[in-house]
Amino acid sequence: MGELEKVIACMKEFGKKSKVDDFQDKLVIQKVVCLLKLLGFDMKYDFSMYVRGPYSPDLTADLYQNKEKVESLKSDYVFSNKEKSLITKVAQTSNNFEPAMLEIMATYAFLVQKKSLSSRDATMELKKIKSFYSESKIAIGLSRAKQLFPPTEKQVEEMKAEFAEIEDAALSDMKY
Amino acid sequence: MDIRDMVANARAFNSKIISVPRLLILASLEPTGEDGAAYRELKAVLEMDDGLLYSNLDALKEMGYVKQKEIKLENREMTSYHITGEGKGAFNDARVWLRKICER
Repeated sequence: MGELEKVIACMKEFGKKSKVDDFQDKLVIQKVVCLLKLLGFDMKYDFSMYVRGPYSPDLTADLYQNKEKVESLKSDYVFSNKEKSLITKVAQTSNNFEPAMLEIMATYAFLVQKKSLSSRDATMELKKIKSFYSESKIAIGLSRAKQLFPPTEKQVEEMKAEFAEIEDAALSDMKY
Repeated sequence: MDIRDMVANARAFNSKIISVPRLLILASLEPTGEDGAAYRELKAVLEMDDGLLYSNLDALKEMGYVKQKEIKLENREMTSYHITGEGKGAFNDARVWLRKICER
């Protein structure tokens, strides 16, 4: 059972009035809730990889069943300081909930954290499934996602290995 | 399930949806319910070209299994598709039949 009260409170916090029938508004809610979950603020909705990227059918069902509550931002939930700071972080890194930024960031973070892909593989997969975004948009989204989710030690090691390969190739090119 | 049962059960559902592209489209739209997915999302994730995707979406639309909607995303008009109740039923019937055939 998800905690819709908290979802509504998130939108209320940033004065984000959402229409349940609006494709973009629902996309924003889905990706914000997903990013917050990956950051440790769990509103008890399960996400899996679907055609829309990381997505929770239960969250959508709750939004439809509580249309009036959602659209009028009815929630008395009070955030802890930690929760508030996470919401602020997501808002800041996503240009105040820009759909494309949220989609890229949530998809990348989900691939790395939940599907255990390396940074390189996650980037390649992201470029395939979000191929409708420009290279520059994806690059910005990726750098924002990395700001939000600093790499773990394991990921740093993977990156070092990746850079070492590039460096070796460059050095061997210089020999000729 | 013996072969005669399989034949009888096969008559109970619309075999026109038994094709890889159509099953993939229905399988991808089923969990997203009324939300559906934008055309560009289907194209990218299912790795289908426009011809293959359009023709199969049109066929599913004609059968009443998929509906089309115009949506606005980041100030751009685009098309989205979602599965209908009838589509969910047909997909489920096909899934049950395929499962039975594989478990035989």
